[in-house]
Amino acid sequence: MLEAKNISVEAGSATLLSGVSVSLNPGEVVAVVGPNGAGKSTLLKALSGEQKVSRGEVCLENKSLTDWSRQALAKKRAVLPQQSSLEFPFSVRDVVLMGRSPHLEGGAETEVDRIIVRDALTETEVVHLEDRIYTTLSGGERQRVQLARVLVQIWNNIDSSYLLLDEPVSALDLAHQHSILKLVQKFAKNRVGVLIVLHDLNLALRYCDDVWVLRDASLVAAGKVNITLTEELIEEVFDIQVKIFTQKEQVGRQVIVAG
Amino acid sequence: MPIKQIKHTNWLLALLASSLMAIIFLAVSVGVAPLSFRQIIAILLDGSGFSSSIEFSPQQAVILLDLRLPRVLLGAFVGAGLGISGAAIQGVFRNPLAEPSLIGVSAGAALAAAFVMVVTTDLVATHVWLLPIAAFLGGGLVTWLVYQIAGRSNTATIGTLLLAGIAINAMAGAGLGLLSYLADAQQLRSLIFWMLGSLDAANWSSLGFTTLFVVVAVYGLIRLARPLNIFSLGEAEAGHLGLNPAGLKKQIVVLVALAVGASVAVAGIIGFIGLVVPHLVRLIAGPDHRLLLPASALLGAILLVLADLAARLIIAPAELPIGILTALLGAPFFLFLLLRQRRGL
Repeated sequence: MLEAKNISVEAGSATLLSGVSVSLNPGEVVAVVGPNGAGKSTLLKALSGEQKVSRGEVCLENKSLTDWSRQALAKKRAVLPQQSSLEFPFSVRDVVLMGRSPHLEGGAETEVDRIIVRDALTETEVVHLEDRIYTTLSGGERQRVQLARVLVQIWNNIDSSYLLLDEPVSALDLAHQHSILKLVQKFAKNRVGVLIVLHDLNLALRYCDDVWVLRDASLVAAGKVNITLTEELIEEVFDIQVKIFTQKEQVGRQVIVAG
Repeated sequence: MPIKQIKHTNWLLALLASSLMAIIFLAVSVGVAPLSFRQIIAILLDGSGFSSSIEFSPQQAVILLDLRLPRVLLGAFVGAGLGISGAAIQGVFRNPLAEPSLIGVSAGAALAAAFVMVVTTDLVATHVWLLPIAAFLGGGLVTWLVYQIAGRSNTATIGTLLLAGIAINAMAGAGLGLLSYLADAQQLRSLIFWMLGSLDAANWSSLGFTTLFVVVAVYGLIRLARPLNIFSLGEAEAGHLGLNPAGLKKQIVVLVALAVGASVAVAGIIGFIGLVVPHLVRLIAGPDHRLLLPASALLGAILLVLADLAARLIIAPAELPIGILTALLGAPFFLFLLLRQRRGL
């Protein structure tokens, strides 16, 4: 379990997170939603260990993150940042291969690593680009390559592992948004706890088990996604009127419409 | 990297290494007093106790052993240090436009060395180590400073980097100006020539410490090739992959300062080698640091030996400061890269 125990993050005089307690279990997909600047990315960074917490503690498998070695942590959880800048002309294959580096122990990659890289490229639907130079790809293609890089990091893990994804579908077309989130769901079934920062509440409803709702650096709601996301809560948090419809053809499928 | 590419890698390094040997031979034989290939071999054999039937004059032996050979070898080591430093600096700033002299590392090293030169003239004459160590400290301090200014955010732009370089170059320039104002006539002459960059002062003792500094830097940097590859994904990303980004940066700063410090101490500021060389290597062989770093060292050595040869020949019997030559060739190349990058944005 990846757990935040009453964490606060302060930067100068600004409070980026205030007293947040959440936990992510292997096998579940959790969406983090909230308006811009609510602290979603900060929460993800705190859970990944990238951002130090001012108060409270983040624990992975009941051990404080600060007690984990970098190497052990890298084999246990993978993180996809919101933006990645790569200025050098590496091939797509080499970029994804870098995701295997925690498993190489400083040695050269093996046939197994190459197979994993190919499988991941196939799953994220960029295998046809494997010889292309990363810097020449479109935004959406880059995002899928970066996701493949993150997936290979925990690809064959026997133990439980964790995926922390900050807006993984922000640059993707409609079809790819759905195929990528389906892929992530498939990963969760394999003892992976997945945290996704999402803006599209309909995607959260469709693909996530739970939702954490943030506003002004605080957690305002958390729970099963179809119970937690009510018209009242969305109006209050996002300051926009919405209607939630339940589709007749597909039982239980809800759609949020703003306006 | 696929196995196919690794073979290809070894070929490139072998090709560069043999070209370097050939160019070193060329550079020691060409000059105001030319030496034939056979004479060079004969002098070298004679020096190591073997006699041969080929005739050469004692002057020719002096020219080869005391003047040309140390100078050409010094050029090779300085070039290797600058080439690999450029590749490492670009890697750690994750920006292909970074370069030791552009971002002020060379100027920082030069200021520290010039300070020692002017203030402790008598000590420098007897302690050859003083200058490179001062240059190492100056260069290291500047690299660290620039990184603090420009390298903080994950989206460090080339703009911030180059502006930081401008400011540091201006400060170092003011410091060097002040020192030349304080220097006496003799100090001033050597100071100016040294600031323009030259291998003229090469001798076996300066070659000794430069070799040591550069070999340590090259060895250390090549060991960091794989982490540098991962680092190019981004600082946070590298951290998530189990790397210690702060530790890597510190090691790179120290090793680059060693190489740049040693070369500035013996040869002054020779710009743009560190910019041009990694670019050429990336064009031929791609961005993998496992190949980029050793190949940049070799190509840097080749280019600097050639540039020094040109500097000796163009206005012979006088010679051009080599820093002027590399700047004349390198600065337009930099402008070209800048224009191309702007179009890409």
